[in-house]
Amino acid sequence: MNVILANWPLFLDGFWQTIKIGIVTLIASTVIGFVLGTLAMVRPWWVRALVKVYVEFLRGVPLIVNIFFVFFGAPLLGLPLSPYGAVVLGLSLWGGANGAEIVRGGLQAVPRHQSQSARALGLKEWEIFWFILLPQALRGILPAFAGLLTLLIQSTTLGALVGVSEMLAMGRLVVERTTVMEGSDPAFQVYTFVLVAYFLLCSALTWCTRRWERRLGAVGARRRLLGGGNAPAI
Amino acid sequence: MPEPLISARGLNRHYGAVQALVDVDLDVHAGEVVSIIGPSGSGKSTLIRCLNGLEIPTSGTITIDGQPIGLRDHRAWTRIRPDVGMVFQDYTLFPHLTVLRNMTLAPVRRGRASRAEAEANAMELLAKVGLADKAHVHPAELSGGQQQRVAIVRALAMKPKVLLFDEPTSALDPETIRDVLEVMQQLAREGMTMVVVTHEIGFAGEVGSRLVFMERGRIVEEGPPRQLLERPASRRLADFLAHLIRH
Amino acid sequence: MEFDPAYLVRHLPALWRGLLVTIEVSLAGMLFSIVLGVLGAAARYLRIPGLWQFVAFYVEFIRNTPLLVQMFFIVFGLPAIGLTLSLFWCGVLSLALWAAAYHVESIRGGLETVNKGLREAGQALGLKPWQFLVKVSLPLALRVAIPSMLNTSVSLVKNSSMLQAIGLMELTFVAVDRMAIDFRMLEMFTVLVVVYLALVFVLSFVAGRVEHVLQRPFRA
Repeated sequence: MNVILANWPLFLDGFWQTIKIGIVTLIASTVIGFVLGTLAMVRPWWVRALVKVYVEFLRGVPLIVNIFFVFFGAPLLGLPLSPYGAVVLGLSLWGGANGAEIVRGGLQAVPRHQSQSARALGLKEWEIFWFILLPQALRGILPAFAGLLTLLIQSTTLGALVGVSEMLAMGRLVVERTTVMEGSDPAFQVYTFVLVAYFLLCSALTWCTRRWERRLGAVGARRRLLGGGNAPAI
Repeated sequence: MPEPLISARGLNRHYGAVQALVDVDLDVHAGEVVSIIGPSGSGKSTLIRCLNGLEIPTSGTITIDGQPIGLRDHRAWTRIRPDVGMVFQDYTLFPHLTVLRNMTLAPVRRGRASRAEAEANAMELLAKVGLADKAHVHPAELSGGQQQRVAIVRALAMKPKVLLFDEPTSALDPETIRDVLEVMQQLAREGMTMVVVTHEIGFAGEVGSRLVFMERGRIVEEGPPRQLLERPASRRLADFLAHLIRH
Repeated sequence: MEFDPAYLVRHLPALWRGLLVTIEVSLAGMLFSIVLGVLGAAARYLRIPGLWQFVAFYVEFIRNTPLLVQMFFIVFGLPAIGLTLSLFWCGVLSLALWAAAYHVESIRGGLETVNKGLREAGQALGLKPWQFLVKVSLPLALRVAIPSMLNTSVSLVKNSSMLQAIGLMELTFVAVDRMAIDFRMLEMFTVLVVVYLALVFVLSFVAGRVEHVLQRPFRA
């Protein structure tokens, strides 16, 4: 316990980094997700195919491979990225793919006869999307994005493998330092602490999301939209 | 005889191996109330949905108000749809909008009226069907019959030249069916051109000016309702009516 | 930077060994996770006092904590209090514990589809709760649960790539290790992408076939 308290500032720094990355990637994922999710519904088949390729690729490849790809590949393409930048970019692309699925699923969940009815009244396709489909789809989409935030926050730990100073990296640093300087191995306490920290953070987020879901009347939508089964692959 | 408002010739609709419409010809003149009856799967719904482009026939021609419409010309259909109103079996009001907004959305977006004009017009129409007090309510709070009546005046808000009805009372309780049929009767009396796919033979017989009987994708008989119902010329129509009476 | 097939061929043996490790650790993980999942779901369903609350907490804990931290805990944290396992078994354990949590939820969802009517019929026939569970509930529940369990297993295979962080020489470890030395990114990443997409594709295809077979009694 003393180990934790003695290194509290380090852990706090790591915590803020985690939160920062989580929020930035959530915003990016939302933007990318809405753009791609909408494109996945347009008429030209080749647009829909391109979106599907992007989504399947980013969701089929393990996230860690994805991040390594960005981290090692960016400099070779002339793009100097810090570890922080690489993680943000990698997570955003992945999050965007998931976001696209959320948006597409939400839009498709609106009953077909809604758009038919709107079409029969003479509304144009984009008007149908903006006034009829999107408002109704948001009810399920928004909580699902809140669920994505939890996944993104958990995924920030992968940053520790490329040098980002988030919570897990801080934990590792503390373990190494203490082992070298004091001779004892605090790995058990430290990693337990990190686990508990994430548990409290994510449980709180999940709880808030469930309450929000209930208010929107969209219970069950989040799980369905986050993709078929309920286990995320990172 | 003046030009028909809607003219469909040689409509065929294939779904893979199944043919839902077989060489169907239909003319609808202004002021007529055409009722389409027939067993399930006879193609009645498919036919009426072809008349406003919600279904695209595999072949055939459709002319509305003298203008032929290219079957796959989506832009042309979007332009003409306000003139061809449609009321569906499951009313499909937009649940996230109030009744008033449901009615004013299309007229305002299509530039047919300003927001204020559209609202005034909508309130008038709602009053006609006795639902003026529900203008600011959401559809979920209305009964099935009330929702269907709103759906009808929502289509009327676009001031269409013809109204299509796809089994408008099939999803309603027997008590509320009467309310909706009354509204439709009033419209007919006011001279609205209507095409109604229905199971309500009573309505078809009393209010309709022409009856069309379809079976397995073809029009088997058509003519004045009284005549067809009392002295059906074809065996299949006679069987169909006998079947209905027994149930 | 061009693609050099000769480079790839030279390192194929190492990559192949890495792939084998990936497959082994994934299969072992899947097996144990399913066993644990069934036991956990049974404990919750039968409401075994003490055990079912533990399972409920365990599921929430696993789902709200990052898998990588769970792995670090098992690999570095446990030895500090005397529990040391080989790297391979650490990998299997962490993957199994993670997936089992999701399996418990899937199976629970499946068990819930066995509705009150069926249960009352079972009671009327004189079946004891655990007999009913084994003979009626579980078979029906598994039919519903298997699709999402297969989904979880696909995720498990993908997540096995994280084990490279603890030093297990599975596929990603071998590829990235090579890459850090030679900086030949294109070939290594192509291999990784192709292999993982192929694994996911094959597993998803198998999952689809299994679902199809399971649905047979329900199809007219």
